[in-house]
Amino acid sequence: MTKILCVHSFRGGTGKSNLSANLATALAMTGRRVAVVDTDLASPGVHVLFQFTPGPDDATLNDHLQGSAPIEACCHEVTPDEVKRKGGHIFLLPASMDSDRIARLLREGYSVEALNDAIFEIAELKDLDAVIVDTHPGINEETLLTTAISDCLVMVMRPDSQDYLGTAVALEVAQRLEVPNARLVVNKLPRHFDAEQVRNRVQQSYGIPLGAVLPLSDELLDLASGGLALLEVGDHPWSKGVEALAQQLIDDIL
Amino acid sequence: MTSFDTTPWPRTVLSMGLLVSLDPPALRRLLKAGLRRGLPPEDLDDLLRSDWQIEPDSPDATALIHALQERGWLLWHQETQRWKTHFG
Repeated sequence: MTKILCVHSFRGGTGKSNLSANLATALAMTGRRVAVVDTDLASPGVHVLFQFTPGPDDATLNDHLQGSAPIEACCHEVTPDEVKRKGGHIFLLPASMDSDRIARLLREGYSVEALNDAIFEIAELKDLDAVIVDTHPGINEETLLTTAISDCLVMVMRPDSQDYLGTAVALEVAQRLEVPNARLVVNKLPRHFDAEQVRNRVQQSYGIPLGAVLPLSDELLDLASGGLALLEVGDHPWSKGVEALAQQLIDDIL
Repeated sequence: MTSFDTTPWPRTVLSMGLLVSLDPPALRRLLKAGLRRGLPPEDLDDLLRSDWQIEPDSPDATALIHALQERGWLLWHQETQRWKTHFG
C-alpha cells in the first residue's frame, strides 16, 4: 500500500522542497515508484529541482483542484536517467506558476477533500510506493489535512529559536491528529555548530525520532535549486544524510 | 440516553481546523479514519467497538452516526461503499 510522507515545516526557508525532491530521488534509486505533490500552491517551487517547467499545455494540480482536469493529466514523469537505470520512477504533480492562477487560488480557495482524493487516486493509478507531499509552511487547512493523512510526518527545521518554537506548535497539532510516525530533520546546520549538541537538544525538546541533521552546504548553495544534490554531489554529507533518512523511512515506514 | 453527548458538537460545516479542535479524541479519530480512501463498514464497526465501546447495531451507534451524518461530517459513498469525511 502507498505510504504518504508529509514533508512540512512551521516556517519558510527550511529547505523543505529541496529535501522532498532529494528524498524522492533517494527512494526511487532503490527501484521504488514515488510521486512528489507540490501542495505549496501559494509559492510553488519543487518542480525547479526536477528541471520541469509546466508548459501552457501541461496541467498542474491547480487545474484539478480548481478545474476539471483529471488528476492523471496533472502528473508528469520527471525521472532522471540515473534513477531510470536503477528501475525507479519519479512523478511530479506541480502547482501552477502562473500568477493569475495563484491569485485565483488565494481568492477562491479549494476543497481540501479534493486534495485528499487526488493523492489517493494518483497513488492507485500510478501504483506508487510512496507519495511525498511538499507542503506550504505553517498551519492551514491543507497542511492540517496532509498531516492527518500522512503515514509519516517529516518536520524540517533550522537550528533557530523561532524554528524551535514553531516546530513545537506543529508537533502539538500532529499529536492531536495522532500521526502514526514522525521524524525531525534539522537542516542548514552551520559548520561551527556542534551537531551532537543540536541532536541532543531536539531529541530532548520534542521526544520524536531524529531523522537527520543536515549541514548548511556551499555546494547546495552553488546548485541554487538547479538540480538534485543527490545526483550532482552524491558524496556530500548533505546527500549522504538524505540517503540515510530514506533508508530509515524504508526500514520503518515503507 | 447515549453513553456520549453530541450536543456540544457544533452544527457547522467541517473544516480541518474544526476537526483538530473537536473532542473527545475518539471523535477526531473517527473523522480522521474517514479521510484517505474512506472507511469500509467493517472498519467502522471495529472502530465503534474499540474506540467508543459500542456495538455497531446498537441504538448508541445509530445515534452517533446520525449525529455525524446530519452535520454532513461523515457521509456514505455509494460508489466506493465507504464512509467518507466531508468538508465544507
